[in-house]
Amino acid sequence: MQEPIIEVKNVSFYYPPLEVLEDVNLTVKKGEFLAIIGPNGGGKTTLLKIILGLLKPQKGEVYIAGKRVEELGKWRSKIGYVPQTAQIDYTFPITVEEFVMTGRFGLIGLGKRPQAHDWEMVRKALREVKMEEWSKKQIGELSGGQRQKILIARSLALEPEILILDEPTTAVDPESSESFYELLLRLHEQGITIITVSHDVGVVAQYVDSIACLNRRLIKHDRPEEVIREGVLEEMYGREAAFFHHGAIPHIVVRETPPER
Amino acid sequence: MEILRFTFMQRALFIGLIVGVLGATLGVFVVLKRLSFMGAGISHAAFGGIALGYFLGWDPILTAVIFCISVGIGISMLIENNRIKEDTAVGIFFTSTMALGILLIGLKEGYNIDLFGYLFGNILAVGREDLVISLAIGAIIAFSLYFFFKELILSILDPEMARVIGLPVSFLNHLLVALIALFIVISVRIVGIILVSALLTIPAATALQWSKNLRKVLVLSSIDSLGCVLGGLALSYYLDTSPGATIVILATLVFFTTFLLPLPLKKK
Repeated sequence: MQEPIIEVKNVSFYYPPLEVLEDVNLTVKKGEFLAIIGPNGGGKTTLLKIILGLLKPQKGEVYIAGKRVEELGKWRSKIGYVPQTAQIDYTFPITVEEFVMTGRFGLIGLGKRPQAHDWEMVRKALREVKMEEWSKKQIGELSGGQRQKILIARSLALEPEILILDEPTTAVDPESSESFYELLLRLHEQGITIITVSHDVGVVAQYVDSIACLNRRLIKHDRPEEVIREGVLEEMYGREAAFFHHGAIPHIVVRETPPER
Repeated sequence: MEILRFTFMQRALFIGLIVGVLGATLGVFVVLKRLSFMGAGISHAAFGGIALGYFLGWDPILTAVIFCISVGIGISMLIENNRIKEDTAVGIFFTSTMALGILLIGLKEGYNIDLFGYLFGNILAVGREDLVISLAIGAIIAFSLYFFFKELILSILDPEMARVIGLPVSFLNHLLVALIALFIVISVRIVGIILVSALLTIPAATALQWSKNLRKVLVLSSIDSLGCVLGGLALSYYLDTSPGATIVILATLVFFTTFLLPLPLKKK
């Protein structure tokens, strides 16, 4: 549980002239369940894309399992990713189960075709998100929430060691959202390292080991409760943020003003 | 069958068989990746390649192969970082390579090149070596599509995910363009430079109206394409029309007939 599996070292990223990330350092231990929270435009998606090697930071390095992310090679096939907005053409002639199978293409290897075991993993992933009865449908026939579920199933189908999720429950109804976090918790118990970006700090705080607050700069809290107390959120979202609590779960209401840069 | 008595017709039908199936299969990738215009651009570049071959005294077809692949990969590299938009890049190469061809042919004194035959196809000019070249290049295209099938599919469907799981996305993009170039070069004899991109677009577009299942789309596209290429060749013989144009018109008729059919008949 103790060795670091993801290390982000001194990462800065600009969309000139805008500085999106400033000297971000983050260590995620093997098996850790981390939530990244922060305001829109705070750099959450950018940081995930840098961790995945999809964007190259102007400064700093990312290491995964001790290797520079650019040189991950075959290890890449163990990373599951659920993007916030997948740029997918949903008219593409592909069924739900075939779509979920694409997650395993890195594992299957060049020139080879999916085997019985691969299909078994796909069915298992579809069961996890309760979409198995849709497996023969064309992906265009699905609703927004169902599309999100098959993106999640695709990331599970590859039996990930690291799961990276960008607002995975955005289009999903609250009930599915809850069962989804329960699912993440089960995967976490199996030892999978999980990073999820979320707006809903109240919900994720119940499940995760640690929370990182990101608004250009990143501050990690190894005890989620810290975030809720001590004015951490006020500092991050600005004074315009107001909080109210019912039960153990705090809610944030942020006035629609752009964060100061 | 009377038309099978002629050697040139036998050869044309043989190449038509290869071109029909491969164009249909490759065409599904082309249409899904929205590369139809790229296909038209590369095919026109073949004119520059053929002229270059004549000018340098090299084999025109082989020169065109290399020239088209270079132009295709050149375009695909130019647009990779979004510095130039795809249609702009194609628009530039489309015309400049044809201009180069016209220039080179003009510079070569006393040329006797069958320009019309390259532009619109000439099945009478199909020689034995064309059969061998078509078979060899056809095998390369078929093997590449088979070997990289799932990688190509994912890189078209979701390039970001393809990169996340470590697929060589930019190689796959270049590969597809190179395969288009190879296909164009083997089809030029039958349909000609001007019309060849139709084979990469129309049967696939027709099949995509019939089914949303990739395997069915591939099969339907091949059936349609084979029917149009072989049927078009036969029809052109009896009607004494241009084979390339007959094939393309036939494919277009099938496309619009499908298009006008009521939806419930199509989607299964």
